[in-house]
Amino acid sequence: MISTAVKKGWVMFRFLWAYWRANWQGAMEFRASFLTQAVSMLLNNSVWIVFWWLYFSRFPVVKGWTMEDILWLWAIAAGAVGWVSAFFGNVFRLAHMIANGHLDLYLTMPKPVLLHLLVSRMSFSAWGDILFAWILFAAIGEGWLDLVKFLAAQLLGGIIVLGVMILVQCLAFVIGNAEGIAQQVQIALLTFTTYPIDIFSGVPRILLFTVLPAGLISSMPVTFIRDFSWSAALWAAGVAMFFLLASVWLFRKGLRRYESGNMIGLRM
Amino acid sequence: MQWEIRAFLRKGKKYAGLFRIHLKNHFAYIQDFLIRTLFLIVVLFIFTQLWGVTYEVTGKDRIAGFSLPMMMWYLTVTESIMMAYPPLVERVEQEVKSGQVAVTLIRPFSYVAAHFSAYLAEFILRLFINLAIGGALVFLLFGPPEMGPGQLGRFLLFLPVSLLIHFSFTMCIALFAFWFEEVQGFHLIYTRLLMTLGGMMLPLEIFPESVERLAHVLPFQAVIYLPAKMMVTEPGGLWWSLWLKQIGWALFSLGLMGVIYRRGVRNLDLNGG
Repeated sequence: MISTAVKKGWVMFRFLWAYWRANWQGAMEFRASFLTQAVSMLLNNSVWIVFWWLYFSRFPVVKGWTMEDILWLWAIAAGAVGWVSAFFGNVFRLAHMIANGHLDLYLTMPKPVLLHLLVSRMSFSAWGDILFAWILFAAIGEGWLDLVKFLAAQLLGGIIVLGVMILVQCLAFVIGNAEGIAQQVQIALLTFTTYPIDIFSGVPRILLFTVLPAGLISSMPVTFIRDFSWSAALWAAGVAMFFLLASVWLFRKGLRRYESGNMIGLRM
Repeated sequence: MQWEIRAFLRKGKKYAGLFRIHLKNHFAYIQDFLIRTLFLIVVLFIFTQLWGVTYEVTGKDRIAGFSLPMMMWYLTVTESIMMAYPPLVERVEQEVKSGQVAVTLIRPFSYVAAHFSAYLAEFILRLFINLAIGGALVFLLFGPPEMGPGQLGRFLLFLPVSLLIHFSFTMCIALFAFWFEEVQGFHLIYTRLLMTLGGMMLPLEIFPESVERLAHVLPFQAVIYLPAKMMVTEPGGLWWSLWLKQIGWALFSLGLMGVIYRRGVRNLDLNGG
């Protein structure tokens, strides 16, 4: 029983690895474009650090947040969004693919449809996010413990991004063209993620922990790094798993409503 | 002399016609413009929370001369202006890459002026929508801006000059496509400078003193900060000198654009087909 599970896991890992390698090789074919997009993202993120530096040079502590906390926030947010976009790049295009009948190809293949869909694309700019996260970590991280916490925070944050985006894009199974809504949710989620949660109070704060869980993606992990406790870590892991499992469940439900457009395509 | 004036008016009519056509075109996509303002609403909402907390924590009514409503109206104007700029660089870059520029250059109008007509039409429409929607949010939360007719008048004087500077600098970057083809990187750097040193995210008065001094001598503040500042504050008698300086930057940027355009066109190689 266990050996079968291990074998299956190994087969799945080899499948994912093969895709990631192929995506990377594809990116290297367009090296100039890859570098431009990655550096652009790095530069774009850096502007926000400049903004916060200007802000905190005038107001050193706001609601318990300092410049160092913002650096952690950005390191986690950029890292989380970065690994999701790099390794599961289609997560932000699911609605488009569902609405336009791009699922046909994946339905005929033996691998899990959702996983197959997600890994079949890599975002070039995501590597700028990943690099940015590690540059920030190099500036603020101290020792192995911080490294472990940083990795765990990125992993949990990324899983929540993955889960929320799949959940929203599954709307395409019901209403058809959900691209616009998905894009707006993506923008709102990622924007709110990069601000300290403690500036929000009342209803917006509740919404940011539930309907649009931006607070769970980066601010909660920052607290998790600042004041680590096992109960907080377990709670964060539980929330991340909830979003992931809920999204997989909803996708499977939605898939039953999927209608093929008989689109003829060519994959290169 | 009379003939020259008539020729100038005829040319003006041609570009006014282009402006009208583009304005009509964009009206067809007004829903798209409205949907895009959601990002503006998200950003402004976050800023209301951030600055609300900041004023509460510092316990001050005014920070660097700005009250909380003034700060929010300042940010509404800067964000609305910034989000209203049409994607000129992408368009020119695409024209150069696809070879479409060859067709555009031989048409009986100035390449730059034709682009400006289209740019102006889209900018005006976008700015109007952004200010209406962003302004409605801030109005609901903080009430109307403390603004007299003088401030509105000065805003209307500074805004066209700032648009001219931005268009010229953006066109300079877009025209680099005659040499480099990929110019998005240059554009990204320019827009990021506008966001920071240009005062889009924060009024320059909030900056540390040395950075503020630096920002004041650079042209980026003439694009974003000055029109917004004129709208929300009462600058006193000094506004004339600021306006003249802004006009100086406009003349400089227009001159630079002229030089780059002439050299770029000479450098252009087209493969027929």
